[in-house]
Amino acid sequence: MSDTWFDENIIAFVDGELSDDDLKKFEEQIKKDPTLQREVDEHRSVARLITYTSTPETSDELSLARMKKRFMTAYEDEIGRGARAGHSRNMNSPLNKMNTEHLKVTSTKNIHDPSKKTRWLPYIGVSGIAASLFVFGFLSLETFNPPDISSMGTQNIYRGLTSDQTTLEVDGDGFGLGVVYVSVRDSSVDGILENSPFKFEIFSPLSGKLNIFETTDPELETLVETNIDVIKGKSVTLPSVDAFTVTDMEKITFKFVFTSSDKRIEKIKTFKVFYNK
Amino acid sequence: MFSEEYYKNTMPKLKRYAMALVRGDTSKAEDLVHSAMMKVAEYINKNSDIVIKNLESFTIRVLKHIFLDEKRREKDDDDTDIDDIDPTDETLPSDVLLAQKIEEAFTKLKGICRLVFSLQAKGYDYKGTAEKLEKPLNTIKTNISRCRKDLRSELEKLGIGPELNEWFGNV
Repeated sequence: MSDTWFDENIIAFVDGELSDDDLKKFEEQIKKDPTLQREVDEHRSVARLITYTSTPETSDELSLARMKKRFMTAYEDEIGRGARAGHSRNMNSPLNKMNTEHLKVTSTKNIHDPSKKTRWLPYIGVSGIAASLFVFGFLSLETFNPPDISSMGTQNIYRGLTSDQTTLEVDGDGFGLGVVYVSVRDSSVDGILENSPFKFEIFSPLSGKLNIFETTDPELETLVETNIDVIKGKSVTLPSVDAFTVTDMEKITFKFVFTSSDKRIEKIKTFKVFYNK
Repeated sequence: MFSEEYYKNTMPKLKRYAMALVRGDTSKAEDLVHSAMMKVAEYINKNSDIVIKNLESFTIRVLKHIFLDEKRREKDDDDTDIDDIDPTDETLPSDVLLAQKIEEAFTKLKGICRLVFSLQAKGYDYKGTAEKLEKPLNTIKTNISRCRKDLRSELEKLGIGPELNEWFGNV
């Protein structure tokens, strides 16, 4: 076979442009010929260098948020619990940034398990039950005191049914926020059930995209809703299918980031959660 | 968890390097970054007494080894142990592949090479490149082959051939 045949097939192999048949033949050839393997490696390293130099040094915000969220979720599931239970942490370690205060349980009621990690997550497993309870009217506005609205200016927090939006107020920027939640009273315990679901009713100040982050601990900022289409002055209920849940936190902060082609509006809201005794 | 600075500054660099290894496949690149961060977090938890001098450098080298392990697995070769990676080594691809040197090497290439590389970086395949430059497909293939050899030769003249293999080669 000619040098040209090799050259052309080397680059086509490196660039993934060989047909399936040619690919098999070429791979067999590489296995038999170390010199060919070396040439392939040399071409590939230059090709990768070109990709490296042409890739922007910073990734887009959404991609980074997605990777961070994925990592933090996996970390909590696979390493975090074991690490907290079994290892003293090196103070020079980057892992010492984890805020253990974040893990404290504030309720004295037996409805919360102190060993459980604290976090707000999109409501996954029991969404069907929640939806059923919603439908059948197991709503109790007494079990869940309203979030603290003292730091929210004229912003009102409305609690009630999604269908009743008349009292939801919108601030000067056109941003409006309501919290719609379903607290399910359990006759066997004096308080709210774990995993009480809630949703946000949000009026958008602009037409564009909305991302919601949970930022209670800034070190653990987590993307909870991604790239939601919003229209200025229209409300959207999120999450659209499931619901967020509260486990055992007493305070929670969300960051709402609205973006359009020429504008970005960021709103940070903190809520306090009270438990009935 | 890692510091906020790590997420903001290091993660983009990890992704950029991963993108180079997988030649621009975003999904694969993000998988690689994820695996590397998990491996490093696990390592730190198990070895709280070991000081990692430069976490960015360490994670990038872990990422490279994970990538190479996947390649080796395809050939049924053994994996690398994370304990074989020196936690005191602070080198980074950006240290040895100085942008200035790379730029210098690029400027010494023929115009057609810079043009072809630029189109490839934008995602043009051979056919697209041939159409864009109004040249026969075989000519483009020959150009790419020669241009890569030329670039490699220029980089070697500038003394960064071995580093090129180390960071972007397969072995």
